[in-house]
Amino acid sequence: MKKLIVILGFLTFSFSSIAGTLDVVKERGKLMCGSNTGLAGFGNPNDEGVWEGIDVDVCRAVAAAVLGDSMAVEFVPTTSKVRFTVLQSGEIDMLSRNTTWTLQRDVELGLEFVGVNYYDGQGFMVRKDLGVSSASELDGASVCIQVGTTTEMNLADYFKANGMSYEPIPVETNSEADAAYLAGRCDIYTTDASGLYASRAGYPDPSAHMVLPEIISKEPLGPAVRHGDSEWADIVRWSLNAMIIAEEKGITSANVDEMLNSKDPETLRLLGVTKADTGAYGSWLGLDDDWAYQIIKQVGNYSESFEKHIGVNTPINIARGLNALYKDGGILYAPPFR
Amino acid sequence: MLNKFLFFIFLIFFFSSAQSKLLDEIKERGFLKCGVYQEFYGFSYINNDNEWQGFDTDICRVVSSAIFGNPDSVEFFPTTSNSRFVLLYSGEIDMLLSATTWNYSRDTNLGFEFPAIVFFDGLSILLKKDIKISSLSDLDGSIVCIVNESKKYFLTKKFFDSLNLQISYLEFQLELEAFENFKKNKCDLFIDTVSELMQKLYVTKNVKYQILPYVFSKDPLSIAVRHNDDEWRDVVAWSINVIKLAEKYGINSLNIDSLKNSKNTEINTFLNSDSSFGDMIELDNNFIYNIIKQNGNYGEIFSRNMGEESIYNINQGLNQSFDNGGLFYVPPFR
Repeated sequence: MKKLIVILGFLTFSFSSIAGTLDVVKERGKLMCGSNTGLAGFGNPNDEGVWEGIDVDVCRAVAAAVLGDSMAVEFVPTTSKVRFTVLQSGEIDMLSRNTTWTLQRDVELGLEFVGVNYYDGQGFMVRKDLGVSSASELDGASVCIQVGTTTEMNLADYFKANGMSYEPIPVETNSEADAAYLAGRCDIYTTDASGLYASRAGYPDPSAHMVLPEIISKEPLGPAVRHGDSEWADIVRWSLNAMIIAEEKGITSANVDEMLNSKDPETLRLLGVTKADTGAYGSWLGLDDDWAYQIIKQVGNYSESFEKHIGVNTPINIARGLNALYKDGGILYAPPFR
Repeated sequence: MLNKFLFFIFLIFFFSSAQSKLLDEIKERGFLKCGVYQEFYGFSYINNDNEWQGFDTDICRVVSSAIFGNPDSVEFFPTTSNSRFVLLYSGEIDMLLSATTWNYSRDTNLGFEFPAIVFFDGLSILLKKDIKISSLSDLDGSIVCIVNESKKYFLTKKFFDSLNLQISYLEFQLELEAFENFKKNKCDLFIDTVSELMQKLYVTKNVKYQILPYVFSKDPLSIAVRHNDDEWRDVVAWSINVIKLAEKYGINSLNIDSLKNSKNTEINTFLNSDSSFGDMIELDNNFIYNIIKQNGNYGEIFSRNMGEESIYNINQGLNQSFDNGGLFYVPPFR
C-alpha cells in the first residue's frame, strides 16, 4: 500500500512537470501564489481578509492573464525560511513575496527570477529633529544594530567610505532595533527602506521621522518561478512587463477601454486589437488575445498598483525613486512589445 | 508487474525533469560557439589582421573566459538576419549576439531566452560633424530625410513633437534614397538606431558625421539562448553581470590585482575565489577575476569598441550603472 502511495506521488509530480504549470493552473482554475505572512503595502490581508499589496498585484496580474479573473488566486503565506521549498515542491506556482534576487538564489536553488517589481535597499531612518537631511551628515551618530549581519556590514562600509564613524548599540533582532530607535536609545534605525517605511507607518507620530535619501545596498525584489518551465516563466515575466508598458503608454484601468481605439501601434498590439502576421500575440504565451487588457482592467498599470498600496498618499508613503519608469528618473524598462 | 510500473514512472520522471546540459557539452568540446553578425562595424567584423573584432565578439569572449579561463576559446559563426535564429534554434550555436533586439515575439514565439541586455540601443540622430549642438532645442528648424509612412517616421515625429520643435520632413520611398539625399545636403538630419548609424560613421571614416547623444526608442540589444536550459542561461547572465558590476565598483583590467586586497567588504568578497561563487554555477572560482582581467569591465569593452577609444565616440548613456544615470542594476553577488 505504501509503495502504491509513493508511486502515485511520483506520478502526480511527474505529470505536473510534463503538463507544464500553465496547464496545471488552467485545470485547477486558480493560481497558487506564495505571499508574505503579512507585510503592509506588499502582501497583507485587509480587514475583510482580502489580500492586498504590490506583490499580491503581480499574482493577480498573472491570474487575470491566465484565468481572466484577478481574484482566482489562493495565497499561501510563507515565512522566509520555507518560501523557496514551497515553490520548489510545486505547492505554489509562483512566489511574489518581497524576495531579493541574489546570485545564490538564482543559480543554486533551481529558481528563476523573472523580473524586479521593487528596487529596494538598505536605508536610514532618523527623527526629523535630529536636523540632518542626508546620510553624509551622520558622523558620530548612534545606531541600533544586529551584530554580524549584512545590515551591519553595509553600515560599516558606508561610514568608512565616507570618513565617518558611528556608535553601535547592539540588539538581538530587527524588531528590537526598531523598538529601541522609537524609544530614543539610538539616533538611527537601519534596514531595507521598504521595512523602514512600513515600520514608520505604524509609529504613533510617523511625520516626526524621515527616511534619508541614501540607499546603501541593493535589494532587487521580484517574482520567482521554478526552473524547467520556460513557457510559464515567460507568462509571469510578461504579466509584470505588461503593467510597466501600460504605464509607459498611459493606459490605466480607467481608460483601457478607450485605448482600444488608440492610434499607437504598440498599444493596439498589447491590448490584443492587432495581430501579428504569424498569429495573435497572446497565443504565443498560450493565452487569450485580451490577456494584457484583463491585467490592466482588473489590476491596473504599475503606477496604479504602486500608488494604491505604497505611494505617497498611503500611510507607507514611498516616493517612486528607482521604481519610476526610465524616462521618469527611475530604471523600470520593459522590452518593446512587438 | 510492479517493477515494470516503477521503471515506467522512473522514465516519466527522468524525461520530465531532464534539461539539456549545454554547459557540460561546451566544456567537453573545449570551445564556445558564438553566432555574430557577419559584418557589423563596431560589433562584429573581421579586421585587417583577419581576426574577429567588435563589441559583440568581445562579449562572447567574456563568456569564454568565464568557462575556460581563456577569452579565445570561441568559434565565431557569421550570421545574417535570415540565418541567425535558425542557427540558434537548431543548436548549431550556443549563444547568439548579433545586435539582436530583445522583444516580446522573440521571447515568446521563437522559444528564446534573453539572459542579458548588453546595449540599450534606440533611434538616434545623425548630422554633419561640424555643427555644434549643445541641446536638442538647437535642432529647431531642421529638415529630416526619412522614409514615408515608416515606423521610424512615426517615432521620430512623436519625439520631436513632444519637444515642441519645428521639424520638417523630406519623404522618400526607400532608406537608401533618404540617406543619399542626406549626404547631398538636401536635409540636416538622418535617423536610425545608434548601431546602424555607427555603420555610416565607419564608411565615412568618422570625418563627416556625428551621432548625437540622444536615444528615443527602445532597442535593448541582448544575448539570446534557447529555452529550457536554465543552467546555461544562468552562466551567460552572471558572466555579463560580472563586467557590469566591475565597472560600478571601479575594478578594471589594470587595477584588479591591487584591488583583490581591498578593505571594502563587497569588493573583497567579489574578487576573492574563496567566496566560491564559481561553485554555485559550475564554473571555476576564479571566473570573476578571469573575466575582468582578460577582457576588462563593461566600460573598457564599450570604450574600445564604440566609446572614447574608438572612431564612433558613443556616449555610454543608459549603458552604465543606475547610480551613474544608466540602467544597469546587477543583483547582489551573495
